[in-house]
Amino acid sequence: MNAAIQLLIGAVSSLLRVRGQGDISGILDQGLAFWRRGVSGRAGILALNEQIKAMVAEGRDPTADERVAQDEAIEAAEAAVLAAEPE
Amino acid sequence: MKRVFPDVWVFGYAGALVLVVSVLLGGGCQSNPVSSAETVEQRAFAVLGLYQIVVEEAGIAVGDTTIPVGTRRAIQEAVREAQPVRRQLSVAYLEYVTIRGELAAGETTEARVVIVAQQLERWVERLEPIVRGLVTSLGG
Repeated sequence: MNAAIQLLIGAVSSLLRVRGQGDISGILDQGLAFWRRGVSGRAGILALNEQIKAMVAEGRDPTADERVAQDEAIEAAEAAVLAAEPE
Repeated sequence: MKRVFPDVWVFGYAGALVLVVSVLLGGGCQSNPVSSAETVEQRAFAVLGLYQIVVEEAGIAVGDTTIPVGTRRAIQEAVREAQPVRRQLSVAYLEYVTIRGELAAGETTEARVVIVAQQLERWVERLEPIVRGLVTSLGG
C-alpha cells in the first residue's frame, strides 16, 4: 500500500479512536466496519440525518406522526430480532 | 447488567479506509444525526432512529446463515439487553411531550418541563453507549 495512504489511514484511525470515547459522535465512525455489509444502514443514517437537519432548519421538533412511525418501526425491528432462531 | 460485548472500540484499517473513502465522497463525519440535533427532543429522536437502523440491520445479521451461530445468538442477546433501556427512553420521551403540551395549555409549570427534559436527556445518554456497543459488535 502506498505509504501516504497508510499514513492517512493511521491518522484518521487515531483521530476516530479519540472521538469515539464517551462521545456519541463516534457512533457513525464505529459503524463503518458494519456498513461494509451493505448500504442500507448507511443510507438510513444519511436519511435520518437529513430529517434531523430539516427539523433544525424549520425550528421544529419531531411531529406526533414521526414519533409514532419511529416507535412502530423500532418495535417491529426488535420483535424480528428476538423472534429469530439463529440455529 | 451483564454486557455481551465489550465497549472497547476496535477500529481496523479496513474501517478507516472506508471512512477515508466516505470523506472523499463528501459524506463523512457531517452525517451524524445526533450531532445535527439541537433540542433534547431532536436528540432523542436521533438516538432512537440510530437504534432503529442498527436493530433492523441486526435482524438481517441474525438471519444470515453465513454468520456463525454463536455470533448471531450474541447479537440477538445484545438487542434483548438493549430493549429495556430503549423502552425507558421511549417512555421518557412520551412523558416529555405530554408535559410540554400541558405547559402550552397552562396546566403545568416550566420547572416540571425542565425536570422531564433532564430525565429524557439522561435516557438519551444511557441508550447512546448501548447503540455504540451494538454497532461495534455488529462491526465485529
